[in-house]
Amino acid sequence: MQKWYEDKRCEEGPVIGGQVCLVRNIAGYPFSEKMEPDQKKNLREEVENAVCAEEAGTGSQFHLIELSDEKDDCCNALIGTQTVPPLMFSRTAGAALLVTDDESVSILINGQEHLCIQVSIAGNRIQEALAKANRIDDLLNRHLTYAYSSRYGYLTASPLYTGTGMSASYLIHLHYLERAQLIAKYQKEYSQFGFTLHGCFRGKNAAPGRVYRLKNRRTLGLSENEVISSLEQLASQLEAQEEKSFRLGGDEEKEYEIDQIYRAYGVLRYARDLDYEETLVYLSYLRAGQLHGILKEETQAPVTAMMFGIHDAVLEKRISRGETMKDSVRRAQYLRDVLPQIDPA
Amino acid sequence: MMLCDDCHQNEAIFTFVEISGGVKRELNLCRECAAKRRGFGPTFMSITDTSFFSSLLAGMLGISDNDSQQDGEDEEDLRKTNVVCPSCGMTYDEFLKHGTFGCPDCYRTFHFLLDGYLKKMHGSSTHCGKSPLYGGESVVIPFTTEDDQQEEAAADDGRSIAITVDESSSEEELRAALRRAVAREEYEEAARIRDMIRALKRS
Repeated sequence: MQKWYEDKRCEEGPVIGGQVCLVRNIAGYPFSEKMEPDQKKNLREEVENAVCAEEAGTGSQFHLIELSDEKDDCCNALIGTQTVPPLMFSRTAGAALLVTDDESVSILINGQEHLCIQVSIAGNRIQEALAKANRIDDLLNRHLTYAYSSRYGYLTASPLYTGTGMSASYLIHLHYLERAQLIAKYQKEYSQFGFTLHGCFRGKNAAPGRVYRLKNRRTLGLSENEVISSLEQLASQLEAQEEKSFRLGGDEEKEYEIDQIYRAYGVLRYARDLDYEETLVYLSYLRAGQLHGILKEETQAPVTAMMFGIHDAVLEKRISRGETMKDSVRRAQYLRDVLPQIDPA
Repeated sequence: MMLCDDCHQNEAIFTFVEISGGVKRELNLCRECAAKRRGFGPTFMSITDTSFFSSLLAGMLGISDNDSQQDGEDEEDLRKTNVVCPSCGMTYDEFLKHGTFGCPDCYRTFHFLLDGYLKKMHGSSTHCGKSPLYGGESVVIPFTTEDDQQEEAAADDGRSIAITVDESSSEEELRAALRRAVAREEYEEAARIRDMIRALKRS
């Protein structure tokens, strides 16, 4: 089953995709931290029944993952592929995840909040993600009464989500903007509008692979549409600046850049042992090269899919760990399998 | 994702930048560590008055700053610290320590301190987004202060009353909800209500 991040639309521009997360709590229960195990069990049953009843209406088929039973690898894979927001994640008894096969819709039950509905979508289409998330939210609402007040909106354990309970973000690859050292400037500017710009993948560096998440911080005092509209404007500004940063620089710099891109391809194609963050650096060059026509268009490598696929835990699912194979060796093998032959221009 | 410089576990939500003597220092903290570090110790020396930062942070986190308290405020705070949520037993201190509420009723129990707290966090303390299609308000929180009443009066009328609609609503209720949704530019919801009106007319 093709994952949402394997969709071709993830490769069309700096914007990889969008995610909308709606946080809800069910009335009649305390918030997650204060819940007894049997309360968690009851809440979970209610949610599962609601999803079952409305599955047809959502247009998606869900399968269940028991987070408390799952091994570390599976949980890390879910976080690594951005299927579950890390801040919402929990592995306490009763925590479960309902997820579609393409991982575009996930419903986290008994995480840090009762319910977290996340919709991921490829490309520059956050409005569609919001519409889908709202639809699922309304369908579940038929069976579940949400904790809500007209004054403060949807009530959540953490006041960071009170109000709309909506966390909307765009995943953007800002290869040239980071090269131009302009990220800090936009981080500062956007924080004044209530948006954060931080690295998407976890690692020692601030933003491995130069992939950033542009996310709203404000959930109270703004409507969902206002937030989405601002998000779209800021993302579009970042795309324009990314393009501008690419065009800056003289011929010598451009030649250096082309060399770096082909070197990156060479290492990915032939190396036998690759570290996670190191690979993301090369993939960043590859993606930038593809996007700006430096590499031939006919041989489109699914770079975004690779960025998600090289995570240790995701590889474990793909190629089981043999006794003697290191993670880094396995990663290199995966890349050799997936990377197409690119003829030099 | 920026991690807290103290605990290296939680996501940092506060960034303190200090520029003194031409040297810039940055400190990223999560909510819990920021609450612990109300002053700035030897690792982050500042030539400015540390009590300014302490009270600024205290204000943002809702912790009372002992240095600036008046007698009247002392009593007020004592009253606040004695408040306990009847539904889940959460106390004011517990809330400040964890930064999270125990149950939806906590919003009603602690609403006297929420306006300021939420305003600092989000720039506003009044919800103006989506409301649930079914179920309506589960926790009623009174608008008690004069400011709130003025805000209420000045705001769009449709927003102050949470009218929820479902299949059993009358046509008038549906039309009112439709007008409200259009005014709020919630066209997805408006389309849904329009379909409900059509279904009602057909039956």
